[in-house]
Amino acid sequence: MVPISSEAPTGKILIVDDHQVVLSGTIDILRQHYPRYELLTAKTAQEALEKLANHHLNLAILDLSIPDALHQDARVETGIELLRQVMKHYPEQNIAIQSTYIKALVRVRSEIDSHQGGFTIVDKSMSSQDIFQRIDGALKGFSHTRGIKALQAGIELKPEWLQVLTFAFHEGLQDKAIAQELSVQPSTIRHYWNKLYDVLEIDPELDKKEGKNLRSLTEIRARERGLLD
Amino acid sequence: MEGQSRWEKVFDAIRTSLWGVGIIATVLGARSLGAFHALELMALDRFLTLNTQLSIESTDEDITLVEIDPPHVQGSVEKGYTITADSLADILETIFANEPTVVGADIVSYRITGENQERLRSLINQHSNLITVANYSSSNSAEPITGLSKSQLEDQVGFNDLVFDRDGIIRRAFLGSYFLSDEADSYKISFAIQVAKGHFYSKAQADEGKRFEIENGIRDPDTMRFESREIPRLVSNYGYTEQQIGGVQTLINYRGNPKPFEVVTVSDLLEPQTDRSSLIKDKIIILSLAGAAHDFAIPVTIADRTLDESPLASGIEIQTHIISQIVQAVEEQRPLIWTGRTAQYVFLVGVSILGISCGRFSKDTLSGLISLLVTVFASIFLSYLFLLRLGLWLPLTAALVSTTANGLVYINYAQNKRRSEKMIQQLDLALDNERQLSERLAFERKKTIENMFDSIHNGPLQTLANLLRRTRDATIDLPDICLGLEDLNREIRYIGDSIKQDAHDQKDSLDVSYAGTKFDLDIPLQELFQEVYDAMLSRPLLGFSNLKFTIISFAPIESEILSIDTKRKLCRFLEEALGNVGKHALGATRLVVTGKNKDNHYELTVADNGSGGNGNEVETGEGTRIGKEVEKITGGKFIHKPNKPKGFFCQLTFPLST
Repeated sequence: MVPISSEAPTGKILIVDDHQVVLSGTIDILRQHYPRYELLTAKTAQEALEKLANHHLNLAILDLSIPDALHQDARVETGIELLRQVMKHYPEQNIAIQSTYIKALVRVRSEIDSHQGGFTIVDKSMSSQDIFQRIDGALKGFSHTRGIKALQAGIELKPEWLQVLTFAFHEGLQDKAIAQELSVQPSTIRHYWNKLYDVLEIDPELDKKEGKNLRSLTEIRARERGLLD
Repeated sequence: MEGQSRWEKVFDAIRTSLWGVGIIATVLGARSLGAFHALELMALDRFLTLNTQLSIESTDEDITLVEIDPPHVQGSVEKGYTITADSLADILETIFANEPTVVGADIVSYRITGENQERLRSLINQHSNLITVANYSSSNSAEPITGLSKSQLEDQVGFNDLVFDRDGIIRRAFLGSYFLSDEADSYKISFAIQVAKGHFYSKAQADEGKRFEIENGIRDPDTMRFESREIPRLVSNYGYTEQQIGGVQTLINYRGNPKPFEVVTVSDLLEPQTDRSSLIKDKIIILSLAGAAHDFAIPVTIADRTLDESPLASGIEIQTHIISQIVQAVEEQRPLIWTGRTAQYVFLVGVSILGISCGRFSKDTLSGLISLLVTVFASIFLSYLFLLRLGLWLPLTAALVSTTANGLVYINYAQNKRRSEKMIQQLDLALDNERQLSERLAFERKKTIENMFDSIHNGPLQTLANLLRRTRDATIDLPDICLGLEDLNREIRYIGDSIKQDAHDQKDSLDVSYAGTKFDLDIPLQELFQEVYDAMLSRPLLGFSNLKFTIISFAPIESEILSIDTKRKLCRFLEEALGNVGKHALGATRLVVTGKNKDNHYELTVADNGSGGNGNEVETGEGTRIGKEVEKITGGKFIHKPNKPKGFFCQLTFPLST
């Protein structure tokens, strides 16, 4: 149990799911850990888009198999389309996908990899503790998308991420300098680091707790995996 | 073929023209045999009647018709009035006192009674512009007044014989004629000509010094001419034959007014309050006995016969019409009726050709018929106008028959021709459709075969190649071979099922037999690429087994501009390129799979650092084939070369705008 402190962070979380049972379960978990957050719910894609437009959300937890509007059939395609919309119009929105059809995310992976907000994937069959960890990761802006990586591809990277690694560990550049080299915002570089943690299987929260330096860990892992010569 | 069809066209044109020539020739033949004469005369009658009904002309102001009525005459209407020479002389003196240009007394000698003829003779002597009549027809011939000198007989006596057509209608007038009864010098001049001549003499005298002569025609020496005006002589035409036309005759252009002349009775004339001068001075006075029989049919009156009022004309009216037309022709240029063979043929043939044109040059039957109708009315109007303005009498009915026959024949011909052309066109269209359909079917068939071939090539064949290689290298044991064969079995079956299913539903999809699924080709291309990549990387291919990392990124692409077939081929290309990595890139540790937007082009790259592509491996096979196909379908450029320091590099660049 996490103690409820008076300075616990506040904000809004949107939960999209068409099943009342799942909705209630998720709400229970969130209530336990984020007593001061306002919890919004939506059962359809349209409703979800409406809430996204009207509220500044700290996190959106999305199901993939949902109906577009009330009394319509729930389809994975609808959820994927909703995700596309969210990533397109709110590029920094923290997102957690909670679904049993996570394989369907494969084809939007390119967009997921480019998404600048936190992005974690939660399988509905996971334990409450794991579910919370993934949700919390997303809320903090981290990525966890290993569930949808290709089987034999080794570590999958975007070209820019590899450049960040090279600039950081071959040339010892700081984020700001890397951002200049790549002509992007420093925040983008931070986002690249988060993606690198994800592909190198570094869990920022856990590893930090264990007293590890994330950058050093990244370098070690990258060399191990052959990303750096 | 071309020349032949052109000759055929010419031949067809000649052949079809012959019909028109045939019809015109037939009409001309029938006309020369007299088939149209009665109709032509009827048409002329109609036009003249129309003139009268429409009052095209005003009453002739130059002529006053004076009827001598009781008590100045004796006898009864039934037997015909007679007049004493004294009364006649009295009346003549009264008239001459008012200075008429000429006086024509159309009173035959046997109707003048009484002994005192000497007074009449002295009046004739005294007034050279007093014309009397004779008649030479067999039934009621009348000698001139006795005791006239030879020159008086020549200049002051005219015959008032009328000339009847076969149907009893009077359309012609004598100008002069030989009469058998008399001695050698028996050429006589008609009453109308004598009166007209007398009128012109008087006018010329009043004009001082001017002489007026009646002469022979210049164009036609056989006719009479008053100064420049020749009176058109009737020649054999419209059924009038030479035998019929004795002497010099002309057609009568009846004055187009219901009341063509001023008519007064002597009683009225002698009334003290009558303004005699205005009725007589400088006018032609035609004197006749009242009660003259109205028993002559003229064209102008026959139209009203249906009313059974029988308004037949009297002889004196007809004479007056003749005098009027001659005087008016000379003084007012009023047209005289004439005709000419050339004009007749030109009109007939011209109008017939118009009729032919109605069939030949109209777009459809209705417009053909309408234009034919317009042509018919136009030719009626035209021939009427010619008669009215120029006096030219055209063969209207023959022309109408020829035009209508020609028009109908050619409209019918054109209709049949159009119909057959339309049928040929429809046939051509049907054939064309069929050809297009078969072409499309052939294309679809080719596409389906290509598709299936790609499916097999990138699916089971890859699996089989991998299996073979591992078996040869002896790096695989039996259970794994079994698993591989099971995969192969499943993939081939899947392709079979998939083809069957494709035949049923029309959805465009990409067969991915090795993943046992299909990808919907409607989704964005970069997502399709991602799915293909994912499915390929899931296959147990040797080239993937040592991969440490993959650089992967597919930039979004405006796939609306790409057709389904293009998308399918691009996916096949990526599948093939990744398959080659899996097959040949042994020991590859890194793989680059990127799609980038560059200068309105999309650049799809697959590169590895495996052992393949050292340069000693011959580049043949399907990779190149699909590369070439995709080059063609996207208009792009395919590069296929060894990578440095090792491995293989393959890249497709294709334009995004069309």
